[in-house]
Amino acid sequence: MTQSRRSTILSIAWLALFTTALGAQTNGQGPKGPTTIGVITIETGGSADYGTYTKNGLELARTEMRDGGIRLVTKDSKENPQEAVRVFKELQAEGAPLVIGPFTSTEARLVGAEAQRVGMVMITTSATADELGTIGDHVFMMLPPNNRQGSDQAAFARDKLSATRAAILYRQNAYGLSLRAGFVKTFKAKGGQVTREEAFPDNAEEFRDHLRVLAAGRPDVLFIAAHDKDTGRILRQAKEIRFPATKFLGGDGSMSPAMIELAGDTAEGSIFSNVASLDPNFNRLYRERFGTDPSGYSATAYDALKIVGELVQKGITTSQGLQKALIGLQGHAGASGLTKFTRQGKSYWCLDKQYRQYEVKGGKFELIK
Amino acid sequence: MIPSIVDGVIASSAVVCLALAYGITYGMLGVMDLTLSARFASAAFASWWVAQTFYASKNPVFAPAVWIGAIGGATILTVLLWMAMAPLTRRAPLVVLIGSLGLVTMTEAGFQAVFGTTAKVFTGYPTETGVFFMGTTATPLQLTAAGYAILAVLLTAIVLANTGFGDKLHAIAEDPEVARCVFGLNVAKLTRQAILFTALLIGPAGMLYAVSHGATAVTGHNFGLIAFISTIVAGRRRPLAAAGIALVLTVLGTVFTRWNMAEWIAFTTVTCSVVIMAHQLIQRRKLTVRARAALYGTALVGGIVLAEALANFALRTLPEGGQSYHIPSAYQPLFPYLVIGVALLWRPKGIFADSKERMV
Repeated sequence: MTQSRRSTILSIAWLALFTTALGAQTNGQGPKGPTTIGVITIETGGSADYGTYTKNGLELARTEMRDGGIRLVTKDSKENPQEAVRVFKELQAEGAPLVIGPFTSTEARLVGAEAQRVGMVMITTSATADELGTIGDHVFMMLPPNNRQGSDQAAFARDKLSATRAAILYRQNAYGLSLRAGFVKTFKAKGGQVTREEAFPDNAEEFRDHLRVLAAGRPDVLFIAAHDKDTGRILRQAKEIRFPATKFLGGDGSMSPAMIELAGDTAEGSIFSNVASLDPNFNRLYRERFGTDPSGYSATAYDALKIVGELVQKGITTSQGLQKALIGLQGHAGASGLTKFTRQGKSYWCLDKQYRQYEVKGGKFELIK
Repeated sequence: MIPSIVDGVIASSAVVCLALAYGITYGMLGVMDLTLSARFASAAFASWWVAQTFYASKNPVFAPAVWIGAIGGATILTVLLWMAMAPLTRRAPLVVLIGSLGLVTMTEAGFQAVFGTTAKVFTGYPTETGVFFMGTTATPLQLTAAGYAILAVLLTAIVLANTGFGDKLHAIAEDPEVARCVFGLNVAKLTRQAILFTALLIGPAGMLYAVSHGATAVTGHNFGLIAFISTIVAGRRRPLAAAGIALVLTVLGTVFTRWNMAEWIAFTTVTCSVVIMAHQLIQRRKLTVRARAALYGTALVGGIVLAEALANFALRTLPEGGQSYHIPSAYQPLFPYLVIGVALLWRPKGIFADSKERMV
């Protein structure tokens, strides 16, 4: 065998070995090391506290699992959908078979489409916009769709609070729009009147103007479809302008310690919906570890990683395997209630989880029984 | 109509202070420095830190300490940022612009690293209930902020018109080379002093804003761009006009979705007709600038009052649905840009710019 032929065979052998290793790596199953699980959340910018809730929930789960053969790689989306897709591709290149996140529905819409295209699995622990259901079977939501949440709050306003006139203030993004749509549909169907709706853009901090317009309709309730900081400021500013509504209602995006901190005593009596059971044991663990109360999103992130961790422990480490296992999940009882994925549209939701109403009393969220 | 305008005026205080500062840094010194919103946030955080510290100890110097903290916070960051920015100012204006944007991002990350992700709330400050004021409600804090904005405008006007420092700034604004070579001015030193003066303007504004909205790493970002754009629309060397444009943009943004169709029609027909008629009468007479300004102002206010009366009369005759016909609030963010586009098409060099000036 000549020198040049030997070199050629060696080169081909190296190339084959390298390609095999690369293939194994991109499927998330390196020969020995832990499985890479990607996390996309918001670490910087105006909504960075949401990222903190998610990361804290994941951290708690990771500690309990003692890593469990998982290497978590967290990327910052900066609440920017394009950036979320970019970091998703980085995670794909790092061999992650599954991504937990991104946080907002606007980001999840684009990342979900990309995950579907490349055959990776996306589990969002917080995004709930209805249109996520149109993406595909690699997209999993830890919560039920927003439409149902808005609808439940409308039914609560009509049936329990006997409200006949409602005003709506919503953030103009996928989350706010779908929450608003669910509320309007059910409130009107139950004979209520929506006096006026006002939208505001992302990162708005001044709402007095919108509130004055809404106040003119003399609503019985004001439904706020917004993020937690928005709601905190809205409640404070509503008091400042002497807003006439007797009750303020909101969704899970508003239900966080940051909202209470910003709103102060003006949050008292406001009602928010959430699926999280806020399990006392989870609450205690979280408080001991981080010194604050958890958000519902900490609970969903905690459960998501626990579920993925259990699957990885069983040796399921490919995108295809994880997707099938998630679809077949018989029900995981965790901090956010029972997680069982059911197909609605093209994607999978936790339809078994029920939204429940929590009232702010003494600066804490108390379940309304 | 009038309560909406009053609301807009009250809400504009922070934007007006930032526009004044941009009017000096960009309008007069020609430095395209977008870090003013970061300095605004630094004042918010510094005053919050001082407030929390002093409130807990019930110290009698609580209130002045918070004001000093706000100015101090803005000044310290101003000095630090200027140390980074100064070398860039010797290069092209766009280098300064891009460099300042980079510094804003770095500062934002720094704030988040130090103060965390949640909004910092002045826990000792009670939630206010608004008092009735000119047909609307305003909190004492909002009125204080509006009062401070007026004070900042007056202070800037006095400094620019009646002090040697103001004269020197005008000379630099006209032509820095001539100011240096002919008048022997130390342009670099005067620039530093002017930049520090802007910290004095925006420091208390940042504090007053953060008391009601909380301090976050992105505090001030929302209206920093509007303030900068106001400077461009006003034209170079017009810091007071920049403040005026910022006020007008905020008021227009407020009324855009608040007014119903009857109010818009009344405003665009009655008010504009009154102002145009007044213009026809005023321009034919030899009057001082102040007299002209007073007459134009009277015509505008009179036109709005007349339009308000007519709109109210029309609305009484309309069914209930007539009142609810508003422009959807979803379009509100577009409105300032629409105004800016029209203004710059009309006067590309800026509304108050001299005709000999270069294009902005």
